[in-house]
Amino acid sequence: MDAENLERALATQPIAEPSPMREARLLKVLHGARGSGEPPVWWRRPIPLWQAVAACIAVAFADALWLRPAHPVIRATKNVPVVVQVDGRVFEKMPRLRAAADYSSWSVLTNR
Amino acid sequence: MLARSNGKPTDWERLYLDNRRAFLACATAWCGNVDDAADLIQEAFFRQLRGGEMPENPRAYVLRSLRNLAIERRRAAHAPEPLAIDVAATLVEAKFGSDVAVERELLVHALEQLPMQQREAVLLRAVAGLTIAETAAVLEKPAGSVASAYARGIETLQRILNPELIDGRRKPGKGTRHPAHR
Repeated sequence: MDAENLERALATQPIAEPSPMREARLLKVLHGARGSGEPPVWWRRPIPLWQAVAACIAVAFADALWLRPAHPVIRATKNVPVVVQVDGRVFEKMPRLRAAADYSSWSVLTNR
Repeated sequence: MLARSNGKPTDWERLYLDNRRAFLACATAWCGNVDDAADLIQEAFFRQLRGGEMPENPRAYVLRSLRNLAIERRRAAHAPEPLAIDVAATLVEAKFGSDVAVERELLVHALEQLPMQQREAVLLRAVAGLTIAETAAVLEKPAGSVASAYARGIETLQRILNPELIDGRRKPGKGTRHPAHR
């Protein structure tokens, strides 16, 4: 038997086959797979990396503009300091402390 | 996400149907039985589907994936050899009345005598029908060494199947004297 006939014998020798049910299951999955001949819908289309990065930057920029804190409102009002005057009557109904509260050294609160 | 096709076979389905013999023959040889081979083919296709786009040479790509999966399974089962080529599981008896030239037992016996490299090259090239370039891509070896292994394999098979042949010429025996000496 020469090489050509031997190759032909090997090419035509029957091979083991899976059960029809097993093969039908595989073909069912492949039948539902996305093929290159079918145009993908726009929301499933793969996009290049640079487009994805640009979209993320655009969304982040839009969020920053939308969510930025509002500028303080400036009104033409007189800047009058608020003075709180505490007199003795506030402390009349308080329980007596061991020592009387000394508030003579209290002063205006400052933001230091 | 899988998109439904409109009844026509998808590219993946077409790939399997066009190369069914190659996938089944190789997977069965690497696994040892056809049921495991069907699982292996399904797993290889699932991996390709997860990848998305079809590769450039899909047949060789799927076969290389099948081979790597078979090696992974053998490694997980702590098999002594990284890969086996079970031709007895792959080749089956021809049906009555078919015109197959050589009996299955002879072919299996001859193929089992081959070293692993030659046996795999003959399986991929002759049984599965791949080209030398595709076989080299599947085995991840140079095309030259694949061609050499295949040629040596075919030569060894010829020698085993035709023991009376020496270097392709019939050995002189009884009744085959040169006409000048008759």
